[in-house]
Formats: sequence, C-alpha cells, structure tokens
Amino acid sequence: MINTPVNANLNRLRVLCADANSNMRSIYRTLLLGMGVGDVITADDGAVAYEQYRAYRPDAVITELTLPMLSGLELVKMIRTRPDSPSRHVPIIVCTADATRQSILVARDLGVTEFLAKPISAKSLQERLETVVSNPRPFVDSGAFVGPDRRRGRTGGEYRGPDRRERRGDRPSSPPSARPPAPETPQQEKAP
Amino acid sequence: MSAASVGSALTAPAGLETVAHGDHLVIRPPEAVKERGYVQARRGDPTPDMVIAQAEKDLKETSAEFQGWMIIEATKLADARAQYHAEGDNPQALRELFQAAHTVRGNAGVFGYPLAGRVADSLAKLLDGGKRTEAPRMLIDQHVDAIRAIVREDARGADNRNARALTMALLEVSAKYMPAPPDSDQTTGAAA
Repeated sequence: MINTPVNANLNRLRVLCADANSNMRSIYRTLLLGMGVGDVITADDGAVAYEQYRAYRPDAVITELTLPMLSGLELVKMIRTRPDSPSRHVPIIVCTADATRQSILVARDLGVTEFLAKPISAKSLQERLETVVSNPRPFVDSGAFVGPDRRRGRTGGEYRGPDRRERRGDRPSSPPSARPPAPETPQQEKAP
Repeated sequence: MSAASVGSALTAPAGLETVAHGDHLVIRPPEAVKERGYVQARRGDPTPDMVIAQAEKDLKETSAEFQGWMIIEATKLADARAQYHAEGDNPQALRELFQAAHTVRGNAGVFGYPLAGRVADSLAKLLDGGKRTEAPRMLIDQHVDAIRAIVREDARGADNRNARALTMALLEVSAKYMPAPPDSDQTTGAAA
C-alpha cells in the first residue's frame, strides 16, 4: 500500500457527537468546526443520537460511554447490529473520562473503532478523526462480533488472510482459494 | 464459497466488497468517507497542524465562559452530594453523585481546570462507577468541597500552589479506599 500525502479537507464530513453535557457538546462543535468539519450534529442521549444517525447518516460518530436513558455502548451496539441501521460500518469514536482497561475492552468488543480519553484536546480529536477517515479498517462480521478488524497491528489495516488461530487450526480456516486480496477471485464479490 | 454461505445470519452488505472466511465475513469499508474527508495535498491546503491550531484558537475564544460552566458543574455535584446524604445509601443517589463526578472529570481538563479534574477522577473512582463506596462520607465531602474551591478561586492550570497541595493531599488519602481491580489502569489510545 502506497501512502500518498494527504491534507485535511474535512468540509464535506458530517460528524455526530453524543454527550449528555451541553457544554461538552459545545466544545465538540467548536473544535470540529474549527478543524473545518462541514457539519456537526449533536445529541444528549443515545436514543436521540441513534435517531439523528438514521436521519442524517453522518460519516463518523463520537460518543460518550455514559449517557442517560440509552448508554453510549448501547448506541454502538444498535449502530453495529440493528437491521434499520443505515451503515453498520460507520467509524465510531468513544470519548470518555472512564478510560479504564475494562471499559475499553467492553467498547472494543462492541465494535468501537477508536477510543479517546477525556480531557480531549484539539490535537487528540484531530488525530482520531484523521485515523478513522484516512485509514478505514476492514470490518469483520462473525454474527457475534461486528466491528473493525482488530488485526491492524499485524497487517497495517489491510486484511491479508487468516489469523494465527486459523493457521493453527483452532478455528475453521478458509480454503486458500477464498482468501483475499486478488480481486479476480470468485470469492471476492461485490454485493448487489 | 460465497459470503452468503457462511451462515444464515451473515449476509454481505449491499455495495461493499465482502470476502468470506470460515466463520466470518471481512467487509471492506466504503471509500466514500475517505474521499470526502481527505484530498491529495495541494499548495495552500491546510496541514493537520494548521487545522489543530485553528480549532485551538476557536476554543480559546470561548474560554471566557469556562469558569461559568465549571461553576454550574460544581453546583450540580454539590446538589448530588446533598441528595446522597439525604437519602443514605440509596443506589440511585449514589449513581447520580458518580455521574456528576464523572462529568466534572471529563470536562474540567478541557475547561482549563486539570486539578479539579483529578479530584473529580478520584471521587468517581471512590464511588466505583456508582455501584458502591467504602470511603468515609467525610472524604467524599472533601472531594466535592475541593472541586468547588478550585473553581471558585478560578485556579486554572496545574500550577496553583494551594489547589495543587489540596489535590495531592486528597489523592494520597483516597488511595487506601480505592477499589483495585487488576484491570483498572488508566489507558488511552485505540480501542482495538
């Protein structure tokens, strides 16, 4: 993969931010608009955020874990698994002050793309946004898990075949002919 | 093997490149977000540093409001403390007190009060996610009062001598009451 130089030009991006605190929503709006993001939508609860998500189809979602009524984790789960979710593959950044290993693992298992610890800064927010926009990771759907491929550390974000457990035989492996990335293989298909 | 044959619950999303692997699908995320968010570098385009600087500048322009915002958060925290005292060990009151502390620990750093954020983080940990606390009520009170004092004195930054001494003393006393699960490390970074 060749890394071509890129510059930020976020004015066509639409970002949804869910945070219970109105001042924090104001901070998100100020920072994101300051970065040049074209459209920032905010929500004060997970249920509202999901409706906003369905209505406006943002390019990225930023959410707190702790939200009233419907939590950030429930929001992630709905986006990733509900049949009426318009895009189950949207990048989701969880942003919280509860940045413990436990909360990160739970969020990861629900399919969160990136994790951002509060207090946020312009730099940390820009870096996370850049990561999810400029290097979208392949998605895995195993039924039990729907979310970004966790093997990015080994593959640099590119899916290059079965993982170690598959090679060891601990889990079902794919026939060699079913493995990517050759675009001409019949197993690699564009869904209608 | 087609994507649809992996399992009855796993179906390839429409319009996305999908590869079947044993018990899961690997889905290449749409390029649309990347195309909208980034463009090839051209002379005059903002660099990431310029983007961050602009966002920080915009944030600074709103910073005059930060003390007012923090006073509101500290007042909510004091109200939650009063409710907690009035209702004994009512779980709902404990959760609301935790929620108020959690909000302050997330926001205070952004608003320029990192020491208030550290005290609030200590309080949130003492409350163990709003589940229970073995800390003396006096210690909880001292945390709440310390946050109010830091905000009232407008002790921004991390260098105010009195605020720093108060914070360090509270953290030291609190250490012995902290719930200590093995996975409670403060962590930042990506989710997966």
